[in-house]
Amino acid sequence: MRFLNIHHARETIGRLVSAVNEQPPLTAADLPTAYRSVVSALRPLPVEGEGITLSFKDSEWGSYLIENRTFENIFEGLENTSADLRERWKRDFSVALLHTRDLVPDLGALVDLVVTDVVMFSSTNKGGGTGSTLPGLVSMSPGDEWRPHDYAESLVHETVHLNVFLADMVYRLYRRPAKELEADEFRVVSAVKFGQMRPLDKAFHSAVVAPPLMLMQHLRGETELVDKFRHSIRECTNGLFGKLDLFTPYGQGMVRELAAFAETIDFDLVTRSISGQEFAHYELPAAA
Amino acid sequence: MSVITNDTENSEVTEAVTLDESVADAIRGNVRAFLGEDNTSMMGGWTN
Repeated sequence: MRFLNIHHARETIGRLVSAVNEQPPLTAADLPTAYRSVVSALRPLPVEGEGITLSFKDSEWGSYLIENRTFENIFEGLENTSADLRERWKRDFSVALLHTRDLVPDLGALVDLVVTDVVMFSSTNKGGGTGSTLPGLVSMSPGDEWRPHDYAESLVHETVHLNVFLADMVYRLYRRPAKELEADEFRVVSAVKFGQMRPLDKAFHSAVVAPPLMLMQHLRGETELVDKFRHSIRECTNGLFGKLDLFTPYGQGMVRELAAFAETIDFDLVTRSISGQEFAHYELPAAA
Repeated sequence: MSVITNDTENSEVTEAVTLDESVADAIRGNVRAFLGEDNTSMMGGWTN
């Protein structure tokens, strides 16, 4: 599953940087900085410095997301947050990053490469969000009972969304724009919203985030997600196969790789997908 | 606002990225198409 692969992410981001800047990166080690430069040009607000910038409702990003109703349906019941709560979120988030790097180092590397900003809110709905046109940005509303591994799983979840958006930008995943994929005829059953028919891109994204989260829980000795998604991810993948003609050749490859996992729930495959060279490269055809 | 430091050693890139000009053209076309079409889509994992 190359949508989880750290080497492929570097290849994809390297290609994006090289194409957009119309020159190859000065050195490969400059890739994270070059990525941040390109991301800054694509978003309404630039990346500030290195690392992951953590901010809150009253930050520039917080105001932008609220004013533009970016995550309107998930910002219900927005509340102000105390300094103590922000400190706790910051501490738990830092521990979550360390936890991710320890548990699956190349997933940690993927987070470090792809995510530039996390904006934390307190809202009725708990979880994380990302936008296709806001690369690097994660919105998060932590649950009251969240422990560091919950932050880690939310962060990895959103990182995979962001990574797939980047792949869509560089290679294209679908033969139609996302707006058109909302039509009833292009809907597929979700892997997480059980029994619900979702637009093709949303159903696809619901399935691609499942394998790393299942792996993370598996490594912690938890079986809840594994039991929960075992059947739904297969059902979703079967639905995606039925709409394979709506995917580009690159997208079709991703669906096939996803299906190989859905059929087996093989955690060794997830580990190899994250770190293995076998998922590193995609031969992009030249422009016609 | 605060900054959480990246693990730079972990995210070190070990291989130079090179790009053929025709491939660069294809990618620039893809990026233009992605941004030009209505591809705004929000994702996430949320519970009530």
